[in-house]
Amino acid sequence: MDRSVKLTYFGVRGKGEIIRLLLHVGKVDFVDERITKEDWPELKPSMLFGQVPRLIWDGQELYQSNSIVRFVAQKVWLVGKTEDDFTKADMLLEHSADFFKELRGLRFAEADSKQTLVDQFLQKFLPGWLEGAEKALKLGGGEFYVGNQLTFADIAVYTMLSFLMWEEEKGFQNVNAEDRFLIMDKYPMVKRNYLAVQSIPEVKKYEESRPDSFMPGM
Amino acid sequence: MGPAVKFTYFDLLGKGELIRLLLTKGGVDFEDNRISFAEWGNMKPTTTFGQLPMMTWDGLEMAQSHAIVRYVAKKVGLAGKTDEDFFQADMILEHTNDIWKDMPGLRFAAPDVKQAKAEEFLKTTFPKFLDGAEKMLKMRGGEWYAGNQVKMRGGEWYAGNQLTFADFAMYMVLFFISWPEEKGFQDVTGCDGRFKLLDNYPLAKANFIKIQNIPEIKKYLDTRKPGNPPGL
Repeated sequence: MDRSVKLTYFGVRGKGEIIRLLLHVGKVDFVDERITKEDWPELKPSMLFGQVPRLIWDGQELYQSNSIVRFVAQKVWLVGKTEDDFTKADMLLEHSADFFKELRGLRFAEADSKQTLVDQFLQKFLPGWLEGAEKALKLGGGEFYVGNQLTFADIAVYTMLSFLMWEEEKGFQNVNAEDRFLIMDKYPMVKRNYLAVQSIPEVKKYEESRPDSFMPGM
Repeated sequence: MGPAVKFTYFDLLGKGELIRLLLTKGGVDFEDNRISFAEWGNMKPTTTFGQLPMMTWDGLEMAQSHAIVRYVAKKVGLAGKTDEDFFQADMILEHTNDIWKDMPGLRFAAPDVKQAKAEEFLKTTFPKFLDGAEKMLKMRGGEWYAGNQVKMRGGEWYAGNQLTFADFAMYMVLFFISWPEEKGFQDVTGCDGRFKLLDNYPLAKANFIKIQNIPEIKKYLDTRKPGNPPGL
């Protein structure tokens, strides 16, 4: 059957997962093409900036993960009601990118400095990051980040918190990081929103059948 | 009467200048609030995201430089006409992150590795980035005449066949590379001719010059004062 939406990314969560969740929640029928390292050298030259994720949407080729998130969110009406709503959601998407940037630093840390970096992440970076998210929720009315409705902001923050809570998360392997499972308790609105997104039927269904990452914890 | 706009950032170009350019081209009368690192220490806890740049636009408080870029672009008509135009411009803006993420590494490198980092950047990162940019412009197709009357084959603009925030985003990256004061290229040797690299990318170069010569931008650049600290 001919599909008009195809996401191409590595068979990991990484920079593709927000897009995948958004497509599922937006009820878009899409091909979730998951590639491996072996596939990559042949595919790379056909990508505009030599990178994935790539989304093909009705013949249009889209790159840059967060540009794709914003594009899909528009298409599936998960952008709030106004320009201001869109911008507020956009800020939270950027906020999530800050998280992911720090997380990648942990994932690729040298063994002898990893514990120090994880400690800094959990004690210095993360509380500030969660504080910002909690403030945003308060301003937004408490339940959703923006516009009193589900938007791509909730999906983005959820994806980051899922990395935080993921047993296999590479950034927290071979270090003492048990605190990470408890830290959200200090930010009750964030936690409530996280659990609410987790229980969205399309999210639940996707997560139950999601293939394992071919690079564990990524 | 126009919107009440206050833009807060350090007295630098950094992540703020792109927004300042968009506000300037858009003819927005804005308060260019430049603060010191010390003042920021006091201000930070009072803000939602604890980061700069920050902007308030008719009461809406915003952080995250690229979210602000996209917002301002829409408000001042520099976001293309369709969703597809906007996407194209957005993709280019995101593409500039590939250079931005390397800037701190260049600027604040330890003295014993700075030379190697600068060379690696000019040899590999920057040309690769320009490959993508030139490809983007070639894909646009068409023909136009650059200021020097040379016929250009390929796009005049990065997105939507018109001036958008994408052109400004690219302009900022190329400006930093060309800038004599750029901190990333202080205390290194053999990098003074770096801007000649752009000669291999005629469309990207022509677009850069075009943005520089937009009247409002030219006027702004001619009167821009050096920041503190410089080169950032």
